[in-house]
Amino acid sequence: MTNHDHRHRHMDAARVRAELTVPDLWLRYVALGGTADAFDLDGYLQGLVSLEIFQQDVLAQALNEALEECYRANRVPLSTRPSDGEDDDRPFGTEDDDRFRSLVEQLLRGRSRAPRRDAEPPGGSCS
Amino acid sequence: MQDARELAENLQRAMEFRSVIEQAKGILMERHKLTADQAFRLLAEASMHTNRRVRDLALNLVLTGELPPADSAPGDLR
Amino acid sequence: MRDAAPADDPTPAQPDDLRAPPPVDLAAALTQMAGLVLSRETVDTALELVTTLAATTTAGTLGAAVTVVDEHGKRSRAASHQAVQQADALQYELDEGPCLTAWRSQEMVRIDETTSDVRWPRWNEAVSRLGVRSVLSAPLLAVGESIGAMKVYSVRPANYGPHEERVMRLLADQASILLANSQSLSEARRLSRQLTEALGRRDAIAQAVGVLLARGASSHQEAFGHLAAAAQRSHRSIEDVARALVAALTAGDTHAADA
Repeated sequence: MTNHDHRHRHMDAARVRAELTVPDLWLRYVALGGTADAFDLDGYLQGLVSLEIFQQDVLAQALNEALEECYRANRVPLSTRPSDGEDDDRPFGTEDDDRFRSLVEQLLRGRSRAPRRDAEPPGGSCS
Repeated sequence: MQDARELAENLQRAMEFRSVIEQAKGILMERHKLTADQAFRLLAEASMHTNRRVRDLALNLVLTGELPPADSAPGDLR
Repeated sequence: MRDAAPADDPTPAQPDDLRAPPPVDLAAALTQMAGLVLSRETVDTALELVTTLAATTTAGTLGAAVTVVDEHGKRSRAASHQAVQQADALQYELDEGPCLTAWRSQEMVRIDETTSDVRWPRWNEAVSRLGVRSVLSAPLLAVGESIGAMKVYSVRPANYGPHEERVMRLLADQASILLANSQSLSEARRLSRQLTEALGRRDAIAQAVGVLLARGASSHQEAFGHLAAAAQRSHRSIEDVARALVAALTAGDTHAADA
């Protein structure tokens, strides 16, 4: 069975970039409603078997979400206030932290910045 | 090689996420007369535009009956 | 059947050298198999490949056959020639023959002349009528267990000697690993498919719950309760009720389903 579409190569490259093993990718794909089994997925990524177009889209979504997580995990956070309070060369002092934070929130139309607390799916969070 | 228990736990979690996503698809299918595949695509597009995971959008939809609007900010400033 | 040298091409005569590699490039054959690892008929394809290799590796061979048995007792067979297939099948019918013995004793078995060999009298008589005169059968051993046997048949008496025994032993070693892996792989595939299908069956129920939520059910429990009640009323499974509801929706007939 030959696979003429090159999308599978792009997808496998994305998988590698997102640091996912094929089984981990399959789990994320299944969590999104994917219906191909793990072997078909592996075969598709290697260009050995074809995959229904819609299932390719489900796979693409799984990969995009994993890439996004990877990207977020690799970002460099801004400096935070050290607990011993020694650091003096910050742009805003302690009292101004709250003001700073509320300014940011206003700019983003008042959306609260609750961090994500739910469990991460297996693998690939590029930690 | 993942051990069996870890796999079972991961699979359980995947099934829970999937269940919520399928419910969200059902809501969209009823409301907008879509097929299951179209409903998924809708969620995937919304994910791209709101920068949120499909499962988060799905949970939101199931719990509140709404998808967040397209101009909402990304969920994470960290 | 994968591409391989056709069974009627005799292999060139080999010098009697213990260190010579098998005349067929097993590495290439195994690499070819790696590409097949993800195809659906893994065990059958592996069997065909092994059979072809055996037939083309031993000079003067009419055909080859392989039989493997998995842990459920399920038998898989391949043969590269009609007469060979018959000869092989006869062993199981008569419950006697060189391959069965090889399999059970875990030792190689050789018949130089079916018309005069005193072991397996009924089988020998039957196959000599088919034209088969010599046979070589090697057990397939994986993890110390006998998983079957591979055999070659010839119309020439005394066609097989120490050299062919060595070749068959080497092939059997490689084939055993390949076939054992194919079986585990097939089993794994089967389980994977079953799992995936089980996941899919749940989808209809979750989608139906969503539909009912959109129609006004106040919670998942209430929606599910609707489905359960409808299932009981109409003596169907919840899954069937859910599927029907979703199908009616997709068909544009929103009030058709019970729930």
